[in-house]
Amino acid sequence: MNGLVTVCVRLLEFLFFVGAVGSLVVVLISGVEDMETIFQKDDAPDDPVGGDHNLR
Amino acid sequence: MASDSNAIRPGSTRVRIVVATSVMLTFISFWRAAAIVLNDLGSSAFYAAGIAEQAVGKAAPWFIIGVMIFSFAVRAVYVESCSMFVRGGVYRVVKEALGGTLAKISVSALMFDYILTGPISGVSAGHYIAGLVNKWLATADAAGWVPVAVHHIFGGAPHINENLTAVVLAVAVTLYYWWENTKGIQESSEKALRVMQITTVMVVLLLGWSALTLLIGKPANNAAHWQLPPLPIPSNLHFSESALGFLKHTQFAHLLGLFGIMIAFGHSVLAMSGEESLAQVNRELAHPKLKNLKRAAVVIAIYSFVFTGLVSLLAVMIIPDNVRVAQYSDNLISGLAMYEVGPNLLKLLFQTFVVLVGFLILSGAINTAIVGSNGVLNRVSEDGVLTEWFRKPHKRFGTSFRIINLVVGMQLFTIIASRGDVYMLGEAYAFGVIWSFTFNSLAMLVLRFKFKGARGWKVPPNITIAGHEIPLGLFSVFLVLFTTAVVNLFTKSIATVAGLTFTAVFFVIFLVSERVNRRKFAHTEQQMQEQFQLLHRDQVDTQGVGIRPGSILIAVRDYNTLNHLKWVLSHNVEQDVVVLAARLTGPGSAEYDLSMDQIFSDYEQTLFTRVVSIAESYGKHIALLVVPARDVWSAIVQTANALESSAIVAGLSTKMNAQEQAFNLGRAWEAMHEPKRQTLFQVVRPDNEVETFRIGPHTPSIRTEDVHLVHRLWLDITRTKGLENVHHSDLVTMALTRFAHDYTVSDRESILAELQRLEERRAKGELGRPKPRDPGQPQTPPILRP
Repeated sequence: MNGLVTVCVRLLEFLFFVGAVGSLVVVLISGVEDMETIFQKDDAPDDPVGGDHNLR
Repeated sequence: MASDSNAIRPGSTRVRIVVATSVMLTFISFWRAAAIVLNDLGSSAFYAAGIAEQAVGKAAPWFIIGVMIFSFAVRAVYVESCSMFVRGGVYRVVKEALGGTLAKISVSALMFDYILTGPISGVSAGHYIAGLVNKWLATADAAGWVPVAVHHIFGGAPHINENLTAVVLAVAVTLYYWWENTKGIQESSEKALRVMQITTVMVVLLLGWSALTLLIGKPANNAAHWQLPPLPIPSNLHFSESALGFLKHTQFAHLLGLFGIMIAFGHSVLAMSGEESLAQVNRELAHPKLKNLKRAAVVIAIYSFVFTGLVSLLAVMIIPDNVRVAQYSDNLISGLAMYEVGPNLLKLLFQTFVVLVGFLILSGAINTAIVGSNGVLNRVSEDGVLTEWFRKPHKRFGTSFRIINLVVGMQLFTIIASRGDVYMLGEAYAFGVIWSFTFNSLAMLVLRFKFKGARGWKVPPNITIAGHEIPLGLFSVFLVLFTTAVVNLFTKSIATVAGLTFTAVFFVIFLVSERVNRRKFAHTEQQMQEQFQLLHRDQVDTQGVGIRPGSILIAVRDYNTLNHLKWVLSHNVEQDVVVLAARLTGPGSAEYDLSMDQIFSDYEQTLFTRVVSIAESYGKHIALLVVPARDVWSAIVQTANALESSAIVAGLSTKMNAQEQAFNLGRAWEAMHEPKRQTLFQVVRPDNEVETFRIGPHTPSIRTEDVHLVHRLWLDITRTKGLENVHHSDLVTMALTRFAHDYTVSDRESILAELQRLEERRAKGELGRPKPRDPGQPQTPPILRP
């Protein structure tokens, strides 16, 4: 029983580690995109995708 | 068209009009949206670090900083979900991806989060105030200002019971915001903005003063130099017994390694509580919605990183170890203020300022929690999961007061049951936070495979293998959230028991309520019905509808063909937009006898629900209007006239072409009583091609050849002595006067015959027609501006 739990703990550790590395990449890439958005003008196209989808 | 068939008659004959206003259709800037979210997210700085250190030891600030960095990634998931669902929120997203049952479970977890946000914020604010009062009393006692008798009564410096004070204050603030929300949320965003402005002043002062302290102050704990908190490695983690939860008597408590890091991370996720409010404010964000959402998200992420992350780090560095947890765990920033470098009185005054700001932001979080819970339960209710009874608008204020009462009732119960224990509340709170985030990210992950349609934005990075897109970023965020949530289940015993109980109770309520609804409305489509506050108006005017003159009036009838509404909203129109639905009544029905239900039926409710949904997706405000009418054209032109609209916009009819629509509208305009004003009529085709007509007297379009003819005549006439000053318009006036004379007195028949021949030549294409517009060219919207 303890062996099974230990395996589960190690699996959780592995998944957490993989997720943490991937999340760091998300932070870096989206951070750069965010900076671009901040300096974008309001008159650039803004497609309200949610509008149509929301009507389903 | 006979004028006596008109729906709205000027003068003394008045009919009843219903103005339908969406309960919460108010749009706000991204600054205000960020302020609302930060009232919740930023408030965590006042208690998250204290709770985390009690649980994991002195290395806690590193985990808080780690959580704040990770919150950038969680924010990305929320931006993607909000870009897909304007009325976002975990319920809608999870329902689309995983079905109704999991959606109900996830929204129950979210409700647990929201319900606890209020109590933890209120109780924390109470601790800050009680701590300050005790500090002032101790200072006064030390200075000998307290009477000896009082000193004896307390057996030392007078003091107040911090837990009791915290409970009383939390109850008082919660009741205050209950009343504010019952009245309506409009002023809440204004208050949130002010609170965040004051908080920013405090944060700048705190960081600046802390930097000065680190530069010239004496290091804490009698150390030779300032020390950073111990590194976040397993050997530096010192878990309290309660922080290990169900694992405390097992060998796994000592199985640290990365598992220990995960436990510590799980105890710090509280620092990003409030991120979920982003979905709540998304609905209210002004145009351009997606950009403003991203901007708000960036502001929120940077602000909370600086505030929560850096302040928790500085607190551990500057406040000595022996007092930090013992005295200041519930009011850590007060402790930081008191251990800055400088005179005591100045520090006490700064602590007072900190407490004042803390009280404001924490009480703001109570408001955000009430608004958030209200929004979530409204969405759930609209989907038929809660009975209509919950969403019934308040008679006077139009708010969903029953939901507000329910939420506030549960918050008050939690505050009293907690007895002012911030740590216990924090432990329980984390359950709702982590599980609502986990459900949301899982749902977004599933939607990547289930719904491959357009999205406003996607969490990066995504790689494509053999034509299949793999959402690496989204999957990574989900993994961290899921593993942390699982670990928390075992290490946060209070949270697990309280959270699971609450979630189960709420889930059962949703389940039972949904079944009741299904039985009650077996034959009615109940999905996504907006509740409207119906206001009677005896006559239509700009003041009654709440718009400025020069508005654009959009006539709607079929909720499946609203592209003309989208066309108007997609242009940056500065005018107010009024959406009008004419409720046709039978020729024999007496208008005065129409009841509210007759005027605003289920059909109008569905129609306006869609209209509001579209307006929300563009982040633009619209006014809604229903008028009873026996003739739709009369209703439109008379409403436009009464509202002083500059343009009327309609979709292309299925029964007639645009010219016939304009002809009917023109006839109705002619039949209307004076005073009446000219207007523009625009018919938007399904392909977004627009035909524009002028209604009422207007300058006719003159062919180039006719302009040249007038000019040649003018040149010839002005050569005559004495006629040098004649204008082109004089020629047109004289020609028209002679034409009118001939038509009415002498030569009517031959003029009509001539016009008949002209019409025949036009029909054969012998006369020039205006060139059609190139659909590929961008067109300026031909909407009149005032």
